[in-house]
Parts: sequence; structure tokens; C-alpha cells
Amino acid sequence: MNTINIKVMNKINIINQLVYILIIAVYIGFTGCSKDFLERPPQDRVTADNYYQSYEELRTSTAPLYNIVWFDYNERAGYSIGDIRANNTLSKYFNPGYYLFTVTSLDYNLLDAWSSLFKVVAQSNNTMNNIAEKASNITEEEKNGAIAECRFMRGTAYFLLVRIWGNVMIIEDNIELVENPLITLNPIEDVYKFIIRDLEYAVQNLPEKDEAGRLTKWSAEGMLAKVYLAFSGYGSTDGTRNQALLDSAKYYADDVCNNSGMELMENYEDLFKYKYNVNRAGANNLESLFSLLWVPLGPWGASNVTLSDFAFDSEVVGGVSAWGSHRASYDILTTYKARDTIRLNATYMTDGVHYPEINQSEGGYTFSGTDEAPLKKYVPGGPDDNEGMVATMNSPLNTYILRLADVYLVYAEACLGNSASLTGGEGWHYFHLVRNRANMDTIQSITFEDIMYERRIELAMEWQYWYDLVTWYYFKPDYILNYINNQTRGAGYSHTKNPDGSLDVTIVDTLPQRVNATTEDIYFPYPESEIIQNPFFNQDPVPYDFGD
Amino acid sequence: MNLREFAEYRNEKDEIVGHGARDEFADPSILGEGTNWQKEMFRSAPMQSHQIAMTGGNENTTFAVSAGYLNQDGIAVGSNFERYTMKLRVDNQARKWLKIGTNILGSKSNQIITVEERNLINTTLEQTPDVPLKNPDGSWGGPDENIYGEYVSNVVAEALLRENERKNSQIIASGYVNINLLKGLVLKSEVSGNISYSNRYYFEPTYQFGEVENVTNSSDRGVSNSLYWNINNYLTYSNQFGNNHNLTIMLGHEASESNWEGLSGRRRNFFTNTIHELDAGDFETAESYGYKGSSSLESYFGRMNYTFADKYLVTATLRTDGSSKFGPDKRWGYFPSFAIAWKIHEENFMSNIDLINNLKLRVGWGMVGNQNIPDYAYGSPLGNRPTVWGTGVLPQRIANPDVQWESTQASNLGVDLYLLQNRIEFIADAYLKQTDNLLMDMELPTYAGTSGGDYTGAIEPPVVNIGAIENKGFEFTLNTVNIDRGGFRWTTGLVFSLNKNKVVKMTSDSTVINKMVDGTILTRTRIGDPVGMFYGYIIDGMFNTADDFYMKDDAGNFILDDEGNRVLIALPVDAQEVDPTQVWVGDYFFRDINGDTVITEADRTYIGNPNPKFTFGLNTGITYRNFDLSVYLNGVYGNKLYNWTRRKFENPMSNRGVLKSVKDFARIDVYDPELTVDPDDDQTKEPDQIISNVYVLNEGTEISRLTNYDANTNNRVSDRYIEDGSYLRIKNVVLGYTLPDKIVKIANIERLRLYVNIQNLYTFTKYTGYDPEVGSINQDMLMTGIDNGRYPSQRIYTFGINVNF
Repeated sequence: MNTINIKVMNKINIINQLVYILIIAVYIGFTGCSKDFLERPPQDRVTADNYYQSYEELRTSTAPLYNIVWFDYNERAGYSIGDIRANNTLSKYFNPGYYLFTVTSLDYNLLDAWSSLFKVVAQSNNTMNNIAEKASNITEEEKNGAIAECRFMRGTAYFLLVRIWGNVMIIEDNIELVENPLITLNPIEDVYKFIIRDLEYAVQNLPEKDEAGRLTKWSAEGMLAKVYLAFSGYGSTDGTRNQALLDSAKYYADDVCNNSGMELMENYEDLFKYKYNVNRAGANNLESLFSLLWVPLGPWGASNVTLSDFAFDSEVVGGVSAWGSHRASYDILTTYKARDTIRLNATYMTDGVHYPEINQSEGGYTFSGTDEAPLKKYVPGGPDDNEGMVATMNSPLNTYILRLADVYLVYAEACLGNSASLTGGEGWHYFHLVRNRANMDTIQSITFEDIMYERRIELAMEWQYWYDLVTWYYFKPDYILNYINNQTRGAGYSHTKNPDGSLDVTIVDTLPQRVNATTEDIYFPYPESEIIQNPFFNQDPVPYDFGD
Repeated sequence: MNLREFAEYRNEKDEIVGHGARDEFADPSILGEGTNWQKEMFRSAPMQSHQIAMTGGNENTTFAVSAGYLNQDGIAVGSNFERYTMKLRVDNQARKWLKIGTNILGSKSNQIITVEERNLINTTLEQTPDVPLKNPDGSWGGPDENIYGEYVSNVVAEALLRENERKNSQIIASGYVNINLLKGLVLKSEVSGNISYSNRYYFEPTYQFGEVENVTNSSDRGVSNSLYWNINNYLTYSNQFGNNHNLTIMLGHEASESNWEGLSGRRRNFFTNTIHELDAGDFETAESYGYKGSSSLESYFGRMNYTFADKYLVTATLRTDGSSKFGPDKRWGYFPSFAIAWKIHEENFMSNIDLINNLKLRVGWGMVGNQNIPDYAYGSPLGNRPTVWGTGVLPQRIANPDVQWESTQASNLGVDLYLLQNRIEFIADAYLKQTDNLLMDMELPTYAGTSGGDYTGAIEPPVVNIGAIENKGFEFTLNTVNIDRGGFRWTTGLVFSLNKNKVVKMTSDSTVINKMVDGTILTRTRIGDPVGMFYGYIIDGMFNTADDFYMKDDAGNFILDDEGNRVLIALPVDAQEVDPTQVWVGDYFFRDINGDTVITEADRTYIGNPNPKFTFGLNTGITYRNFDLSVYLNGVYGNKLYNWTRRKFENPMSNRGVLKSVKDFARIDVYDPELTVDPDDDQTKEPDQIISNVYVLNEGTEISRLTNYDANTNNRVSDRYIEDGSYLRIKNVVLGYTLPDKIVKIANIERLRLYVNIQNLYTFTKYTGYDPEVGSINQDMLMTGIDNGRYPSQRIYTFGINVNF
């Protein structure tokens, strides 16, 4: 632009001055500003059109898929669905609907799960589509590797979605979705097929090794084995699983078990300590296959906010505010075998247990209390125990989505397959690696019930068990409904410690409650705000067009 | 609720749901009033304002200087606003053909915020009366340990201990030259700028209020500045041709640019609570942030005015505006307008009618544009996101390269009629406005990944031109001088306006726009309806006895099915059994709108219109000798409000503070305390688990029962929280007295006036919230009339003196 500078002088030829002013006026008024004047791209961020131009830029574009998009799921929905629904953990004051099967389509945490998992889908789609379209100067391998990360994320989100709600909508292009947002549900079967395609692509295109915390081929194979195992029971009418799918599960689990170089952490409780976060230098955590990587003390959205919900009192988190009202259920405490104290103590706090990692400066913390047992897993101690990286609603711990022990148990379950018991072989061997770490005895003949016990106890408070129940329900519906309906839910209790570390648990005060779960309770209701907008939620799912 | 009432309520709650009581509540009668948090938080606040102005000059140069000072305490404890202003205006007729001038305004303000206004009402309502403001030892009080893990802080202590301040300096300056180039041809060039600097100070000290403890202190410091400039040039030619033709033609160009940038930093772990600057914090905890951006606008325009014989007036304009908010192909919008007027009273045939001083007919049509959308909505920015591997990027908004100007076409027919030496002025207008290409964030289902904000990883929905809205209405102004005799003058002014709005077009005929509050849909907008209608369930009543669960005909007899059994009324889809853990006496029953005998989302319906039928304002003034009195009333009629605050604090199962009305929750009693066999199914049960044995003791209550399960979702969005938003407000009253000239002349004062002013003196309304003047959430017209704890209008008393020397 131009500025006008008018000098008013006493003796000046008026005509000359008029001409001078007119020229300025005409210049400014009628030529206008240059074309660029109205071009205002952002100055403090990049734009999709000029990004994805190097390997480093691809890495920065997939990195947020490891935390922020999962935030709403991690906040409260994950454990409400995975553990409270499964009756591992409960609070009488917070979300009782999850263990009493009275969650409605208006439930806020349920909407959070829905919203978060579809955010994972959307941002994976957007990122991979941007990369496919705009990336240049990059090798095919690097480009496909980044797309494979996105597809792993999308497949994993759908794997959770399909077990929470059953039929859901498959979305591959969120820009196209804007043109026509009201789409139909797709059947469970097609969702599984879609997940398998994503994960197979990830298996083929992810590297075998990468910086710690990044997805690898082994992450994808482990997840794929779990998906095949889950899918193998779907649609069964005779109580058996599909052998071909079981074999696929076995195939991928076998590869992870034998060829990945990954191994279990030596001590079970170390999995939930900050210094063993997979991405930390020197952590040497070879058990994590996929963890959500929260930024310690990070902002809302990038941080792990479960701390204050999980810690029962500020005394176990160095004085920062905590208000956790969740406790072990009566049912799970009475399920623990007497010998299973390593996993019990790393998951729930019972009377007299000492935790050297909490309040380290005072020589550790000993829990005392004979009422309902508060949570230990994902409670890392206070700021002083964690290099300062703890604050109210801010835990430095990653969230495990898939770890090696889970894949070992998947392997065993796939080997057991449709047989009554598993008495040897690789699956039997890996099953016992998990048990041995927990100082548990050998089971000569592993049954389905042993698998159930092992998965429930090994992965308690890791938001897995409800999903397991759903996948078992696929081929054993009556058995699983019966199992759920015979659980004691919501009972107040007290406990005493025996000399061997085992517990005596007595129901007090509130009467035991039972639920009457039916087929309709296996899947959660769709959020009301979605049904209102899209009438297809009340119609039958439509087969997905895979375009091939 | 005071403490006694609260303790009684909590004790009863404990008996019913197994939690809520506390040892100290055992005997409510010995308890005192407890803490009234609203009384502690709010106060009457003094304000002072001083202004001094000077004008002067000679025939070529005039100037005006003024200075002002304002100091206003906020009604929340600790808050304050202080401002200094200085203005200077100089106009100079440098030559016969040249006029120059400048106008400069500088201001500096300092605001102590304490608690953000939008949180004030909610935070004081959330706190419970058992929490002391201060402990006996003088330290700040706070909540004791509780089983719910819900700790509401001591908001008064926070307000007083926390630093939350903003300082702002601003200079607005402009200069112009007017040049008479030739006879009738004038060039006016004007340049103006606005420079603004803001500093933000925030410090959270360490503290302990009971169980609420902050162990880490932290400080935030931020600076931001902005520069706006505007340059415009107008070339105007006006001339009279013959006796009757007046013509003015104007051509113009205008350009403006806004720039903004900011920096902020944060540290934690200060070794003391007294030093708040970042240097005193732990270096290792330092965080820093920054942003920068700009936008620009450019316009060309032309206008023609033509008047014939001072009776017929024609105006036509055309402007074209270019905005940086739109993509290269959609940047420019064209907005013409046209108006004619006929001054009837200038006609010869009117010349004998003395009654009418002014009669004018006006007709107009015009278009205006709106570009109020986020910058770069036409492209795809990538947002910066923290990850364990440093900053990552994530798509931030879905691009819409086709987004374009919104435009409003307005047609208008008006009449001005002045009678009886202008003692009666009547101005009436009827209008029709149609807004096309309405700019809005696209509403998408949650599965599109666009919900929840980009700070939790969502991609924001595209900004789209979604449809068209029509507003039609009528408004009139009637100003009258009622009495003007013997020094007594009474005038009134009435403004009345009636508006109807309607959605006339959407992307498709079936498109609806739903707006959510706290994760649940509250308003819906569709073709044919006014915008932002409340959309929810209708409560038909409460289950008081077992009989209420069965359908009845109009005569009150049970409807029986083919087998002669009574028929259950529609229950929520997720709670289909009559059972204490599902639906029970003391729950509401909802209207089955679609008649499918189950309550689902399909039973939501339109439960209220937030748009008023009409609004009005009445101004009346009386002067008598040296006294003057003026009163201004305003009001709206016929709109509905959604009392979201009441929905939040009238939930009987909240573990936080609740409204007093909650004390009357539905109490369930049994007919026969000995009954242990349910006659319906012959099962053995507790007496209060047998449906035929229970009933609501306080039948007629509005508040549902206490239950841990609430499978019925009693507080779902329903007509229960819809209230009439009509009100009449005494907005302003001024009473003044001007000292007689004789007295003031002694002190060399030209005029001295004393006055008292009361704003918002009283409001007549049936609305139960703080203030019926609710407005819209985020200025979104689809979220109008939702009261979510809005900061109420305050009553302000002012005593003032005007002195002219």
C-alpha cells in the first residue's frame, strides 16, 4: 500500500498540486492493491498442500496418531467398558450403569468412546489420504510405512468398535463422507474383513525395527493374530470356531513369539512404572507392541488423565489431587488363586502390601485397610517418584493396547482351538511363560476356563476383559451369558490377609446383586445423538462394497 | 439450601441410596446456617467515573480534548476494572479547498479478573454449604474427604489468592484530507490505524483448602499485539442541474488489514508464592507458545443519489468486496442496493394541510455480505500437536475451497409521518430479509471425527454455505411530546418490533442441524421452522403408584389387551422393566410421540421456540424547571428459555451443591411394611421392592426419586426445563437536577447538574434463573436462549455531577 504525504506550502501552483493529488487518487483508488494482498495462508502452521515432502515430515504426521486421537477413549470410556462392564473393577458412585447393565444411549462416556475411536479412524484416513496424494521426494517404502501406521491405527480402532457396538459404519474417506454423511451400518463380518485388510497391509509394510514405541511389523502381526482369533468364533452355530481362521491366528502369533526378538519384561509390576515406558531411553521394554504414548505433564488432549480417577487418595500420588472411587470387585478378588499375589498386588491394593516405588523418599508405601481394595495398576506414585512428571490428572504412564503377554495368550488360545484341552506344544509353552513370570504353577492340561482366568488376571485393569467376553460370546453365547449372570456384582466387602498372602473376602453391607444379561446386552446402544441424525442406525446393516 | 437443610437432605439420601450421610450431619438441628457461597462470592461494588472535556479553536481550526478515568469493582470479590482514556480531535481548514484533520484516542486499562465470568454462577452453585469459608484458625476452608471424589474448591479463596490480570494499551488514530478539486468534486482520503498491546498475568499459588490441595504453583505470562489499518479514498461529485435536479455520484476504494501475534510462557515450581515472574520458576518446567496471523479486505464501490425537486429521491449503490477468508475463485462478492423515497408533504396538494409536517414514503432493496468465518477455511491447515517425539501435525479442518460470501437481501417499505409541529413522530417499516448461503460450520454426525475440538484430535468440520433463512417483520417508533406547558415537558418514545424467522432452504429438504450442549442435543433447525428450536422429550408426569404404569383411556379406565391384561405404557428403550434398578415410582414418564410403545430418540419433538414474538422499548422523560427524569423500559414477549443451570443443579443425585427445590424429591413409601410376597409374580422380595406396595408420598412433586441407577435418565433434555422468557425490565432511570444559573454563575460555572442513575432497577418475569436476558452461546443463533450460568445483568447505581465551565 501507499501512504499519502501532502505538503502544504504557501506558494505553489494550484494547478500543479491538483494534478499531483489526482494522480495519487487515481493510482490508489483505481488500481487497487496488488493481487497478493488478499492471499493470507496461515503463518504459524503448515498446510496440507505444502507438507509430506520428506521422511521426517511423514514421521511428524503419523506421530499424533499415538496419543491425542485416543484421548477421549483413554480418559474414562476405556476402563468403563473394558473393566467395569466385565465386573473387574467398579465404583458405586461413578458409572454404576456399566456393571449393572443399565447404560443407555445417553451415556456420556459411551459417546466419548464412539467419538474417540471414530476420530482415530478419521485422522488415520485423512493422514494416509494426504500422504498418498501429496507425498513426494520419498521412497515407496517410507511412504507405504507411514500409510501402514495409519492403517494399523484404523484397524485397531475398528477392532474396538466392532466389539463395543457390533455393526458400525466403515469409513475410508472422510472428505467424501462430508458430501454424503448419512451412511448405513456395515455388518460385523465385513468390519472384521476390513480390519484384516488393514492389518495385513500393515504387516507387509511396517518395518521390523523402528525407534522404540513406533509400530513395527510385529505390532501388526500380534494385533492381526488377536483379530483372527476373535473372528474365528463369529457366526458359529455349533459352538466351534472356524479352523482356518484359528490357523491364521496361530500363524501370526507364532511369528511374533518366535521371530520378533520381543520378550516379556522380567517383572510384571515393572510394566507400570514410568522408567519402563517403551519410548524411554534405556527402558528396554520389549513387551509393548502398541502403547498410547502420552506426553508427561502434557496439555489436555496429549496427556494421560486417568491418574486422579485411579489413585484412591492423594497419599499414593505424592499429594497431588486424586479422587479415585474405583475398587476391585468382590468377584475378581475371590477369583484370584491364592498363589497369584504378584499380579494381585500389582493390580489392586490389599491390606499390608508394601510398594517401594511409591513415596520412595520415605522408604516406600504400605497400604493398610481391610475394606474394598483400591487400584494399583497405572498408579505410579507421586512427582518425586517419577522425576517430577506427575500432576493432578496427569500420569506419565503409557497406556498398553497390545503387549506381548497378550499375544502369548492369544497363541495358546488359538492352539487350544476347538479341543477340550491343550497339553503341550508351542502354545502351551508360551502360556506358561506368562504364568511363570507371575510365579504360578504349571497346568498340565490347559482348558478354556484356564485361558479365561489367565486373560482376566494378567490383563485386569488393562481394558481387555469385556472385549474378550464379547469374542467368546460369538461361539459360546449361553455359556458367557450364564457366566455374567452368575457373577456377584456391586457387593460391598471386607478382606483379611492370610499368612500366605491369599485373601479372605466377606460380603458386608450391600447385598450382592445379579444382572439379567441377555443377547441384547452384549453390544452397547449407539449414542442417541447419532441415531437422531442418521435413520440408518435403525435399519439393517448393508454389506460393505470393498470395491474389488 | 442452608446447612441444616443440606444435612437433612443428605441423611435422607443416605437412607435411600446408601451414601451421602456424614457423621457431623447426625443431628441437623444443632447445625448452623453453613456457608452461603453466593453471599460470600458476590458483593455490592462501588464504581467511579470522571470525565473532563475541552473544546476550542478559531474559524479555521477546531479542537476537542478529553480525558476520562473509570474505576469499577466487580461484583465478584477481588475483581476490578480500571481505565484511563485520552482523546484529541483537530480539524483544520488549511485552505479554501483543503481540509485536514486528525483524531487520536489512547487508552490504558487494567483488569483483575479472579474467576472468569462464565464460571462464576456455576462454581458458587456447585459448592456445598457444609464447607466453611474459613477454618477456626483463620486458614481458608475446603471440603473434607468424601467418598465421591468430588472436590469443589474454595472459590472465594481462589479468587483472592490467585493472580489473574490483564493489561491493555491501545492507540486508535486517524487522519484525513478533504480536497475540493473542482467545483462539486471532492476527494476525501482517510488513513486510520489501531495498535493494541495486551499483557496477561496468571499465577496459581500452592494452597490447601481441606482436601483440595495444589502442590505445584505455576505462572503464565503472555503478551499479544495487533495492528489494524484501513485506508480509504472517496471521490464525490455533486451538482445541481437546473432548479430541480440534484445529483451526487461517489466512487470509492477501501482496503484494510489485520495482523496479530502473541507469545506466552509458563513455568512451575516457584520457590515462593510471592514472586510471580517466570524467572522465579523452575527452568526445567518452562513452556512457551506463540501464534501469528493476518487477514485483509478490499472494496470498490460507487453510489449515485438523485433528487428531483426535493420530492423524489433515488439512491443506487454497487459495491464489490474481496476478503482473504475466501479462496482465490470465491474471493469477491457483489452487493448492489437501490432505494426511492417520496416526500409527499412537499407536494402542492399537501400544502394546506397544517396537521402534517412530514410525510415520506420509502421503498428499498439491497444486499449486504457477511464473511465472518475462520481464516483459511478454504484450505487444509495442519495443527501442531505435542507427541513424545516432539511436535507432530494433524489435519485441523476439512477444507471447503468453494466456501463463499453469505449475502442478505433486504426489501423494505416504510413511512415517516410527523404531525402537530413534530410533536408526534411516527415511523413504521415492514421488511423482508432473506439470508442466502448462510455460513456455518457443517454439522456432521460424531462418526465423521469432527466432534470434540481439535485439542482432542478432532478434525474440524468444513465451513459451508448451508442454506437460507428468511426474516420478516414490522417495526414502528412513536415519539410524542405529551405535555409541554409552563416549564413542564413530558415526552415518550415507543419502539415496537415484531420479527418472524424461518428456515427456507437447506442443503437438502431433509437436512437438519442439531446443536449439542454438554454432549447432548438441545436444539434442532429444519426447513419451515424458526432457527434453533429446542428439541427434546415431553414429560407427561411422574409414576406415583403401580397403576400409573398402565395405559388408561380418556375416562380413566385401564386399557386391556386381547387377553384382558393391562398394557404397560411406553418405557425407555434401555429400561423396559418396572424394577427399582430400572423404572420405578418417582420416575418421570415421557410422551410416546410416535406411538410405538417405547421411548426412543424418535420421541423427541420440538418443545420450545427461543425467538420472541415481539420486543419493545419505552422511553419516557419529564422535565420540570430544573428537574429532569427519564425512565427506559424494555422487554421481550413470547420466547422460551432453556434453564440449563436448573437442569444441572436440580439433579437430586448430584454429589455437589444442589438447588433448594431438590429437597422435595419424590419420597417413596410402602403401604404394607410387612408384605414380603409380590402378588404379581409370587416371588419373595423386600416390601419396598414390590411395585404394588409402593407409592410416592409427596405426590405432585416436580423432582424425581433418588436412585443410583437412573436407567430412566430423568434429567434428559425435556420440557421440564423450558421456561417462559418474557420479561419487562426497568432498564434505566435517571433523575437530574440542574442548579439555577444565578447560583452557579457566582462560581464562574456555566452549568452544573447533579444526577442519580439506576440501571437494571427491576425485572418483571416468571423466569426462575438469574436473568432472562440470556443471549446466544458463542453468538450462535442456533444456540439462543440457553441459560448455562450466564453472568447476570447487575443493578448499577450512579451518582454524578456534570460541570460545564
